[in-house]
Amino acid sequence: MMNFQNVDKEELKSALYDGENLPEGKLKLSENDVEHIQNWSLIGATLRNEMTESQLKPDFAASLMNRIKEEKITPELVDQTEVQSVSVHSFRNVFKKVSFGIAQMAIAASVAAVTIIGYQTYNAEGTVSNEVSAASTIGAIGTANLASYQTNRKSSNEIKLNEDKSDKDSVSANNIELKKQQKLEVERINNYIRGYVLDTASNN
Amino acid sequence: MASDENLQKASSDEALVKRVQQGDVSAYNILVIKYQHKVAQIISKFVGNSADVNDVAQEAFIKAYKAINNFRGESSFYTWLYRIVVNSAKTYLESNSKRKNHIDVDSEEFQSIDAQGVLTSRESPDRIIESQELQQVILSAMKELPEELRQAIMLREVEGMSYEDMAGLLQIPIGTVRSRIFRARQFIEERMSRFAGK
Repeated sequence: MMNFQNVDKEELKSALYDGENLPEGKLKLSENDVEHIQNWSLIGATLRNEMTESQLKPDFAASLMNRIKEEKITPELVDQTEVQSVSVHSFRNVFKKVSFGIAQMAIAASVAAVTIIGYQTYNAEGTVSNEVSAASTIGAIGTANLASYQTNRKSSNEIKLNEDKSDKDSVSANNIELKKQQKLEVERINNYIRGYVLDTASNN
Repeated sequence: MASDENLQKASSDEALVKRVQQGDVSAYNILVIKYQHKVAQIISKFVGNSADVNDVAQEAFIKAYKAINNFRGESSFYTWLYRIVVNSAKTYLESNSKRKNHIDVDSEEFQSIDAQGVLTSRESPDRIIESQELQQVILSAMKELPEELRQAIMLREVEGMSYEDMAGLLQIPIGTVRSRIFRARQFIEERMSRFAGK
């Protein structure tokens, strides 16, 4: 049977090995403690299948700690070059993030601008009047009159800067409407004359 | 079995590392004992014989100790140590390739002579077999463990879980977790000591 005397004290050592429940002050490990810790390490390594044929010497840890003690090896101060490289690296990271953010904002602004202009243009299409266009007011530039290019529709080489298909459609629609109205007006006048003639005839 | 990822979960090493940074050498002793087998396993993938594995492992642990103040807890201690170990092994390989054709027969590696008068490695087959048998003892003891103790030791050693995480997972107090892990270790240790005293 297992001996569970002083179990609390041993339990704490086990927890200490796991890095849990560390006592205040510097650790003091007896030879017995180190032996336990060696066994626990071996158990863990076996369970994790870490044991290889290339075995460490049984006194590996002890000889390493002796070397540290004898050669008075101490932890060195933080390597400044590493700190600098880390700070440069972090600056690069920040710069990359900021650049990426700016690029995203620029793309978003462009898309928004295109959307707004497109929306406005689309909505404005119906209200565009057939009045004189901006191009026709430009007048002569050097020796060329831009407006003159638009008026010569017979030429196949003409440059139609301000021609709009919707203008053509609306003009033809207006013409049809006008003709209808003219026809109605003619009919109305004819009816009136026809009625006047009939009335006059009946009176006679 | 255990993966490196699982080992990285063990964040409780940070407390021990802080102790080392504050000048507590014993805390480093615990870390060395804890990771010595894993470090040897990594080095043995680069280096052939056991004597060199020991040397490279010692150099790696010395480098890690000197640079311990550079550890800022951005990764787990094991991840940080792993990089040092791999770099040490690579440095060894580079220097070893330069003296590839020069074999020092006086080195510790070749200190015994067999019956035919041929220099042999110091690595004892008996020691290897003994080690393998010890591993079998540990695995057999695991099978004999009560279920709750086996579960506790596996979650700690294989899954690398902290006591707090285990308490949450198993719905038991941390004190019970601590007790179960210790009892499992104690049980296996007893089997190991029986094997050693046979």
